[in-house]
Amino acid sequence: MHRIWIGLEPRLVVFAVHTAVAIIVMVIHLFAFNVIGYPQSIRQKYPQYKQTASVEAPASTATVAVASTR
Amino acid sequence: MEGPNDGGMNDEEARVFHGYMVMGTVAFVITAVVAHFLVWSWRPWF
Repeated sequence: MHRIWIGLEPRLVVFAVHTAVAIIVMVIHLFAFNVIGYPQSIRQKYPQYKQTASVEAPASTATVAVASTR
Repeated sequence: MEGPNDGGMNDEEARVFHGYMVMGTVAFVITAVVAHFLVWSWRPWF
């Protein structure tokens, strides 16, 4: 089995193997978040902290935007 | 005298290197198994 390394530069092999494993592991773990229920579980545990971005802007800022377009 | 692959490993070096690669891989797998066991005991995903 060791013959696969003959002629190769050890540092390049280590760099290539580690980079490939790291990328593959990170991609696989992207799917793991959903599997263990993150972040839904956090929202259920802390319902008081609503998603701030989805809150509509107050009426006052909307009128200012209309005025500036004329 | 350097072989044809002057920059790369010869047979003996490849054998030693392979030993380290296997040892490193076993250590990586053991660590991953422990980590996944801990996550499973916290929140099983099947």
